[in-house]
Amino acid sequence: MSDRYEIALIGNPNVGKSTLFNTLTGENVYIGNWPGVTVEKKEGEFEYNGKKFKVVDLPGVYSLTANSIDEIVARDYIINEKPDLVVDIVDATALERNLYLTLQLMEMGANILLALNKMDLARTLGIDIDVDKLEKILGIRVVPISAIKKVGIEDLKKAISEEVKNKRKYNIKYPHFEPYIKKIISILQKDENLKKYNLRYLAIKLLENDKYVEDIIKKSKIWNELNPVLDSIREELSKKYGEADLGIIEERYKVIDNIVKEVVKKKSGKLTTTQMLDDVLTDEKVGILLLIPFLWMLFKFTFDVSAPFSAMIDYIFSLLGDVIKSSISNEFIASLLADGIIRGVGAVLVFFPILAFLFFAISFLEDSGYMARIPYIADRFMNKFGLPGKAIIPLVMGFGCNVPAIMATRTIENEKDRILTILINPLMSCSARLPIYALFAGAFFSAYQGLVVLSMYALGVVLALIIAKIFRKFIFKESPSYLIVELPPYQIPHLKVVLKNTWERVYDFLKKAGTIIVFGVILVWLLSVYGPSGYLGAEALTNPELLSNSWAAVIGKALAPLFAPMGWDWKACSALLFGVIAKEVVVGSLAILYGVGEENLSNIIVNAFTPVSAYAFMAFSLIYLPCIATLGVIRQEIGWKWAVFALAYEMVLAYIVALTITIIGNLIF
Amino acid sequence: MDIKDIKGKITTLSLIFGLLFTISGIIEITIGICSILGFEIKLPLFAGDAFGGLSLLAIGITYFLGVKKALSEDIRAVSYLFTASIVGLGIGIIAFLLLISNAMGFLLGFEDWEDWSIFSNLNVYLILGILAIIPYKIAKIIQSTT
Repeated sequence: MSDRYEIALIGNPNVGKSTLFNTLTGENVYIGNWPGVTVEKKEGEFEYNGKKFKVVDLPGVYSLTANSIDEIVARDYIINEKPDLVVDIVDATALERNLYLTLQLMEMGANILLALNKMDLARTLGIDIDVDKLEKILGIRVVPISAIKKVGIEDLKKAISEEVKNKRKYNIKYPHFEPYIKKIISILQKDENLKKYNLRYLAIKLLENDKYVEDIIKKSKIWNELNPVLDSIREELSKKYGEADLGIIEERYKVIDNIVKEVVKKKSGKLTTTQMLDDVLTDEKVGILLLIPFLWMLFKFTFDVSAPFSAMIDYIFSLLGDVIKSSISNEFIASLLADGIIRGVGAVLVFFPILAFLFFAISFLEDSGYMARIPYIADRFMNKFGLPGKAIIPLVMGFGCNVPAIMATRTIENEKDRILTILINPLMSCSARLPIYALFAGAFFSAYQGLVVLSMYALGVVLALIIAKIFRKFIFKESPSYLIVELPPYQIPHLKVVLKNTWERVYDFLKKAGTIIVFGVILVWLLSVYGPSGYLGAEALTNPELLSNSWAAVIGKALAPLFAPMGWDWKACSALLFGVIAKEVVVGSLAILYGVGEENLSNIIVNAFTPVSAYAFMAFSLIYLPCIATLGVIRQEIGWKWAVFALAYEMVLAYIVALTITIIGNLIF
Repeated sequence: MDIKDIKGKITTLSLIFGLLFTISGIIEITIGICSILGFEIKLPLFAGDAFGGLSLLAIGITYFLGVKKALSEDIRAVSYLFTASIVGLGIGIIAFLLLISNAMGFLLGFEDWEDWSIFSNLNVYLILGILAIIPYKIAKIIQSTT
């Protein structure tokens, strides 16, 4: 009896299954129907090395999702009859499509042998399959054959006779789903009656909302415990994928895609531009690698190519300010117009070229088709930090300026992902903070100033990633969205579309964020030229003695006790307040408040700070309040509630980090 | 088109451009890191931009992966040559735009561009970008014959 085995043949339609069935069984064929349905059931027999094999020809199916009678028949047979071996016939010319069924068979835990059919045709088409590698990756015996030419049939029979006894363990993982699968299995294994099934298969099918498997589990004693867990998992998956089963399908295809890339070589054939670009740009490793030059190009185009245009606007507004100051005799009105309103409008318009260049580049990438591929490439890497793949663009752009970086989050479709990406963006050290670092690093750490400056950038990145993880866990309690996107073909972008998109986005910024920035600049002007004694005069902006009587100085003095543990005086606190206009203003403000020019400032601050308090000041400058423009754009993009939240959490974080640096620094030095 | 017919051409081109981009990238990264550490190294054609150096290195590695594919007779070697060249070309276009933009800043007499000269923008990015036209064109010709 031990020398009689039952094997099943399964495969996609038109894969050559019937040909193989006839080749294996010859004349010994019995035709009937599957129980309860009118689907033809073919059975046959063959002998090999004294062993008898009953061969069952299952209906041709693309998957085992049980959407059709054929699929139900095939699935029920494998689950309930448990054949000794399932011979999965795979078309070597269409490996990608055929492996989907193979993965589902592996999920079921069936004992599988893979017959790689049509190998002759594959060779003619220039397709070369590394059979050994395929065997190793899948953990399944693979036999190349050509059923129609009867090539490899003896090898297949030999393999069948060996594999019927050889139960294998498969090692295919679905990275985005493993935590859910493990959670469900841990509950399923509490019921001994379920152990006759493959628990991993049951878990996956439950995630896919499979009614057949759900009915089995509903009868089980663990159902009451499992049901709420399953509901919460499905809810989470639905938010991420629209429907949980779509996510699993996508995951299977990702696994297949990686396998195919590893084992299939195309030695000849037609190449389209989209195919050639996707062979490389959507490759899991090379795709990420090539994100670096794309980000570099985006960065350079946005900040460096646009620079003379920003300088032009800056120049025009400075000139306008000077003209107004010299032509209006009323000092108050002249200062209000020049230092308040014109400076405010200038502060808005100076972003116009940067944003126009950024959105031109982003629209260009969107219209070209590359932008749609970024989630596909970067999701896995960025998801480790609770962020979506597309967050990589705003994060890198943040090193230039947080305003365009936050605007760049518009490419992120999921609202929660977008809010999270915006909230952590100000932690990316923009170029405006560099003068502060340069001043303090030069004055206190001249031998290692490069490293000290670099440590600030590193601190910003590390904090951003940690905060992203924390917010994801406690505020945005779902994993980053994992979008199933259909990749459009690449195309040369249409200039009209790109320009239209660019204008719409820049106009939106000017209209909404612009008003807040102008208002903020005027407010800081008022705090500087007014004090408890009234109007101090426009000279207060350049005279340290007058400035020390302003409301800005009063606020600085009021804040000083709070920052006393860090060893900062009121002038440092006031300078930080001015930094709200723009971070680079901190250095100029320190120079005014200490009553020296910027060129002599290093000599003064050496006496006002210690190396530890200076480093803490640098870290605080990195993290504390976003500048007015950034705040304005946060409010514009996600509303006041989140803008205030960003403001509050950054202040608290900055204080904690600066205090920690001070305490540890003082302990060490 | 069979890979066997073009294997030699693809391998040679990918190897040459892989070396050009990789070596340039490594030099650029080294200069960039040295400048962060406080050692100023001046080399003609190199700007000392570590991020840019990484970009060149990434393109160089892509060319090398194309060599690997070509040696194992995979037609996708053409894809690697084509894609690396297109990205290299993109870098060259950005370098060219930067040259135009800086020239504009200089001609308008802005302070930040006072010391600018055209030679400061005739750098490795521009040169490699222009050179990348060669493998790009060849990859396009190969594509049209498949």
